Amino acid sequence: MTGSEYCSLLRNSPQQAHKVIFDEYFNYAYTIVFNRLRSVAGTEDVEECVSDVFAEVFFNYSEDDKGDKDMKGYIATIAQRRAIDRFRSISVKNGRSVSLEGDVLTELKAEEDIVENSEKKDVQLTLIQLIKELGEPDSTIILHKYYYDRSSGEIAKLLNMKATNVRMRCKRALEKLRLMLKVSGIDL
Amino acid sequence: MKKDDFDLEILENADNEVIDALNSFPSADEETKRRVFSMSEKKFNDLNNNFEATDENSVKGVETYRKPKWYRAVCAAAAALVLVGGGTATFAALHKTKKSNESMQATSEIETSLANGEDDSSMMSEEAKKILYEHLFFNFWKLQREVEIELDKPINYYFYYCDAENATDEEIAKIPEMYSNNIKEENGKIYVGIEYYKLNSPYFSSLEEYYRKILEFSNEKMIYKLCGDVFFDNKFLEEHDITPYEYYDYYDYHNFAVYDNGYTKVDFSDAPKYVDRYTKLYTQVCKPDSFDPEKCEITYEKSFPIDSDSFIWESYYRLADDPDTIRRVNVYIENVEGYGWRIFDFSMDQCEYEEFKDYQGGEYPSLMEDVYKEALLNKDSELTSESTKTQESTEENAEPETVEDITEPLTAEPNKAISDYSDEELQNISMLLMNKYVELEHLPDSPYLVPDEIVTFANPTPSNGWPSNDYIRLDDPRFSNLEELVAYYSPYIEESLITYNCDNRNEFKEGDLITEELYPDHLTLPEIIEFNGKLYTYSIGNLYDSVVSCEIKEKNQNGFQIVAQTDSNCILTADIVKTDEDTFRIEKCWWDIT
Repeated sequence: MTGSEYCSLLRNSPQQAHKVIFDEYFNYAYTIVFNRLRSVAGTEDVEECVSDVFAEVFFNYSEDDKGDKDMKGYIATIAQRRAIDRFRSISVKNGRSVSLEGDVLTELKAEEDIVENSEKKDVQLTLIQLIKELGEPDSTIILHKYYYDRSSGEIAKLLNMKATNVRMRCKRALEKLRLMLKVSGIDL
Repeated sequence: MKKDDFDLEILENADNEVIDALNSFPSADEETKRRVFSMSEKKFNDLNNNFEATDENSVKGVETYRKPKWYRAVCAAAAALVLVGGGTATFAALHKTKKSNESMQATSEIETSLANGEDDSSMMSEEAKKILYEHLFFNFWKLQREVEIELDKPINYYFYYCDAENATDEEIAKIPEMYSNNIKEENGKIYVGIEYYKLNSPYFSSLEEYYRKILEFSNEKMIYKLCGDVFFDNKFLEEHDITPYEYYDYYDYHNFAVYDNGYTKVDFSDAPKYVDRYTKLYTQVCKPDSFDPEKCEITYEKSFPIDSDSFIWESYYRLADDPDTIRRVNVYIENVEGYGWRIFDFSMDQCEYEEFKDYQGGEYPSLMEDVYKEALLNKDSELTSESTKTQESTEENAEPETVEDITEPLTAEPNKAISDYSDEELQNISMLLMNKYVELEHLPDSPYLVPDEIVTFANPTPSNGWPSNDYIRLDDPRFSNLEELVAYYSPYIEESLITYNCDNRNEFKEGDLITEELYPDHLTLPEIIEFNGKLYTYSIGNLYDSVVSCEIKEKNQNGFQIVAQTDSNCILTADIVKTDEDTFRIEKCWWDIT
């Protein structure tokens, strides 16, 4: 959705406009925020942060905004910044040192970091591709079990399955995935 | 907590390309989405209000979108406390609907008719819907209100909060104040105690009776909504192992919680409201949000029709003793076949009352807009699919295909080589054998299960796919013990494939621990065991129902390999061999990577 389309909706019904933009980008914003906060925050913090993102989006976009701003990019930027703010705030509270790795500002990185980051990205993309190759619902089950840290019951609710089914499928899918990772030479 | 020593933390801190790849998966469920949207709107309104308050010359130049700051009541369950020995509070009715004798009779007739589900809600008048709502909802709250609670002898139940090593000051500070004086540490874990008080009601004396009463008016969902989670056993549960939904079963009256100062993991908001201890009922004392219809002044109410069997009723009201607060409730009422009209769901909240505001509601129920819209959508799509189905069945009028069930071994022609069989012949053989394999896999879901005959084995903390510890009697007329079961399937399937999922040691006794150490080669507990000369199984649920296609992958001198696809897109690979007895049999079978 472009900014113009959103503003046009906003004129007719602000609540509807918020809902439309939320429905379209919630998954995306949540994915970004969770990806940043996974190591330090629980579900509540992630949800709070995502709601901060959208509150800011609703607030900052008004009828006076013009043009065809790419909403996805805009939302991604807000989501990243909010997530990093929250990461820092939680890290300070926990007494952890703050890593500069997640900073959105472009900084000079050591050459070794560039290579390492590039390799890490390759592994990430390959891993996601292998997970996709498991097919649904196994791929969603695996991701939610081992990345989103959800329980079988929560995954069952998401996928409208029985929890026992989820556990069984997860076990089998994990076996498959381990084999696929071995064949691909990926060691997690 | 790492599960199976497997974690996808490598995906953290990814760049845009990886995020886009992750974005192809759903990240959260609809309930989370709704919750986050509500939070976002609230924050937006706060930002808006602050902005207007600080800047009179708004650069926006448009009318600001405002929503009243509705917030959830602290405790949605109404419980007017009548203190034992402390006198009875008296309440004066603020607003009683005065009815003539004639209308009372008409009301009674409508009530009876509607309660029996005799009327089509699309034909019902607004008044009739109101009467139905009152009949169901007010009776429902009466159960909550008219109770006595004995405050002098509470009992305590302790709920796992966190591991002691993670019990920082900040974590401990998150414990609600009302529980902060009742914290224990034991075995490296922190527990928070919640007090429960004996409850006396004229309508029910046990949890089972209470549930039955609620079910007279409403859907099972209400039990969870009002009572919180009810756990089925009093064993110690590890963090992350169980969520409320896994233990929320319909009409499962035999599995109520019986606590005895047991320990279980819970979120405070999920702590059960009621516990049944030795058939006496105890409850948490919560701040009453008294919904007493006789003390309400209705500001506005109306119905939102969905279809002939359901509607949502919305009501805005104020209580006599709290006129500065306006409350609203949405009640989803549906006609359930066999039960009549019942409450399916409800939602309540409140906010500050504005005297000159015109409370008229909107186009959608204020607390159930999404639910309402979804219900309307489902109604439309059901109508579409029904008409499509009718059309298809009229056009085709085809008999459903059935796969022949074999009762004798599949014989092979003695002098015919595998290569001389056509693919079609081999596919037919494969389908027959694979469906026999599916039948074996499906024994845990057999129609011959005897649900009242259960044997229970102690179970370690359920994690990593270990199923529940209840085995149900399998009374299949074809085989009464493991030896007979193996004998039945071995003409079609190699014996080790049959016994892999069975246990024929016959050494179990009730109360034994079943552990992974006993089954080092198994991924799960045995699905079928023999105990005291009878067969028992646990159900792992349907992974698939049937094999829909078999493709010949390769042939060799002794047999052939096939790839079978199931109705749920699972792929199985199987080696089928020609035995020395000139029969076809599955020698190996495994899940395969697509």
